[in-house]
Amino acid sequence: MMDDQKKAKINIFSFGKQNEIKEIEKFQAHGVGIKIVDSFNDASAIIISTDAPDFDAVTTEAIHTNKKVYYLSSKPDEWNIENLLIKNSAKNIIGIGRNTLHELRKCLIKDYFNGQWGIDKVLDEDAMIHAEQIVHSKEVNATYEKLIDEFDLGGFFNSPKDYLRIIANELASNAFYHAQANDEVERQESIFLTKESAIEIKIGLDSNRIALSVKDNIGKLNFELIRSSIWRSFQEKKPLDTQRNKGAGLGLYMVYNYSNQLIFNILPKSKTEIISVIDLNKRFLNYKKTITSIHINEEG
Amino acid sequence: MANELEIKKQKLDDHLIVELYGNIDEDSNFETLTKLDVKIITFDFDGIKMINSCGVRDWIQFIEKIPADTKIIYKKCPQIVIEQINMVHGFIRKGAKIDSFYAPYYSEDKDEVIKVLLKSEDVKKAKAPEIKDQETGEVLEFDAIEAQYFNFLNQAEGQ
Repeated sequence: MMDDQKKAKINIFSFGKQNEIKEIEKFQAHGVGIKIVDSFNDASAIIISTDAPDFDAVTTEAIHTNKKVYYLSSKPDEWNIENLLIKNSAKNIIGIGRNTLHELRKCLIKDYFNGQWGIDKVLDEDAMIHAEQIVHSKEVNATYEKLIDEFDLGGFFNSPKDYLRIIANELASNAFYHAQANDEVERQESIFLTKESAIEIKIGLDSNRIALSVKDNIGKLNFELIRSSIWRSFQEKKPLDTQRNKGAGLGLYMVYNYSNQLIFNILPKSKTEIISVIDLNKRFLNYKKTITSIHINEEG
Repeated sequence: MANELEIKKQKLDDHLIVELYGNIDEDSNFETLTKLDVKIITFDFDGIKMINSCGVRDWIQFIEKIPADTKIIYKKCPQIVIEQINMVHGFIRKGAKIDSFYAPYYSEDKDEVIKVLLKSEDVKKAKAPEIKDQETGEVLEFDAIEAQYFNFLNQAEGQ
């Protein structure tokens, strides 16, 4: 695969700061074939920095090309949600920080060479990954506790477990709830799935980050549902006015807020994989300051 | 189920002290805390491990049922509860008091984040109070974004 990546070139039009473009050119050294081109027409991928001059005009033009657009954002999460995810229907937003180039490189490799699926795609080669399958909704908490305990999180600020718990709980609970054909099933009820439709939770740790994924064999999520759910919660900051037996409509919003990077891989009506990444940080402050990245990949 | 919410109650005249342990989620049942004839309820959150989105929604619906003239006090709120309060409005009922909560401080000497129990009155104008390591005397650095982390105090009574 490494040789293929070097041989094949991704034509990239990058609209941003010169130093960013120079750094992107260095991807070649990491085994990713890159050619920086001068126009949208010659590009297969377009990278736009939110700090670029004429950002709005360039973005409008880029969207009309129907080519893959990656936004490198230095803006706060609220701005990214409103201006990129909602107004521009952005599907790849990368928060600028110490892991920006690593994330962009991983994205390009996934999008143009390796495919999207799998927690290993966001982790480095030294990653240790553990996985569990769940068929009973009431086993969700015990399962993620067991998985989290497999890892030494000494390199992190002292509460990543608290956030991993919420992320795993929200994603796995939603997966079980949506696995039911009947939406009238109560949220508190025990839900049993077949072995074939089991929910899979994986946690992986490399030298720089921890990633947690929840995969279902349902594929009910889509781009519109994701962005409308996150946007509503950001705006209203309150749960849906639902009865106890329904969802509160806050799950994705919470997961977004507690992730440094959030990835959705969707094959409609077939399967969904949601991956949450938390960067290695000894400082809680750095974790909270990180601009959240979001990637939404819909196949088919 | 693992970490099911456990509720311990202690009534002192017209003051009910409620200690909460485990997870607040869709399986949590607050029925035993309704229709109680008390003037003050203190919720001690020190034992809370996780609170999910359904737990937040159910908590909001629960505290709305507590009579308006009952004074509500929140005590020893863990960082994860503070995060949820800041993210979702309504977790603290208007007029409620936050007595104490945990906040992250960083020790450079130990290279670790320490959770310090603060009293609400120690936070003036959204500025973290100075905290020293009890063993070494090192002045610890507040390890969150002050305006963001202390935002919940604006929702509480007179704080």
